[in-house]
Amino acid sequence: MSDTTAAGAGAGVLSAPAREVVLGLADDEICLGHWYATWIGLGPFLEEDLAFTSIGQDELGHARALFALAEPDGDRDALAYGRTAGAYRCCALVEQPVSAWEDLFARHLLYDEAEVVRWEALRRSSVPGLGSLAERVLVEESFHTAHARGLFLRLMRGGDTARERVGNALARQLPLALGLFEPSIGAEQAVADGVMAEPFSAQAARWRERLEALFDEGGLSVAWPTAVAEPGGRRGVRSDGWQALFEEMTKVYALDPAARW
Amino acid sequence: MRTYEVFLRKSGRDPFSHAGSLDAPDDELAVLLAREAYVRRGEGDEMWVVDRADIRHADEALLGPNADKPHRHNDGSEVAEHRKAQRA
Repeated sequence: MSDTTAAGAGAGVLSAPAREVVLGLADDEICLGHWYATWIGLGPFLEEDLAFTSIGQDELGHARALFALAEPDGDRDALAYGRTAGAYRCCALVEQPVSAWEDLFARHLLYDEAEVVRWEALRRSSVPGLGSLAERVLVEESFHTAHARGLFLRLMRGGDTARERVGNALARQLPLALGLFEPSIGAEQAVADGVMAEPFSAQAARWRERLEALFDEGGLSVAWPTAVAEPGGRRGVRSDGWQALFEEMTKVYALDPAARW
Repeated sequence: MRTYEVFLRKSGRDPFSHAGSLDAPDDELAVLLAREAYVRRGEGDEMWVVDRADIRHADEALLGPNADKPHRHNDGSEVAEHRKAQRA
């Protein structure tokens, strides 16, 4: 296994700051997609089980497309599964295990609202192919957010137990979710180069506005956390959930790096 | 939860046909969930989602008598054979 992400080295078409932005998103997508997969068959009812599975598959598809952009001529699998821990750029939200279905739901809600904001900032990216990918992904995201919002608002009307479980899950996931908008390495340069339209801090503010409006609509009071839990993911700091996740996610790749479906 | 029936068709081809049913809390979520349950692979371009409670269910006694009317299955083959025999 080789470390394929040493900043800039062998990066081909992408500048180092652009690659950091792309990998931050790609690594979030592949890890979250994995968590959805671990919940197949365990959803509260069949229809939601299918919907979650389908959304998880979309996230894996986004990861695949982003890895292809990051490594147009290289080995995508090696990039996805073969890096050393410190070379991944995901945030702790997608590394921590999901102990209950409502936590996966809370993650779905927080993550997809963030995804819309993140991909919107990439619509007119200077990175070749990234803008058109963003347009395609945003169509899928409109379904993801409609699903998450629709389910959230109904659960808010679903009685005290539902409100309490969703509220508690959001309180657990939100401090981790703040890490979604921690700046990537060289983020200022990425904005200056037109890789993304606005800095992560501005994206984070728009994400918060969207969420707070939704929480209001559902009549749920959610205390906004003051600090990111488990920071540093975008700079290569792995949280305590990483090792187990990585071993599970790379099981097939570890057995046979050349395996194909 | 309500139960919904889902119908799909490909544009410009066959008529709508029944794809299956699903449970959902209300109409809006039923449409979203039907998409994931029955159209993940583009099985249809158009979809109807109908609350089962809105379907008028005919009494079986209304339909039963029509199951035994062989004269309505006339495909003309006996007439054709008769005419063929006369021509010979």
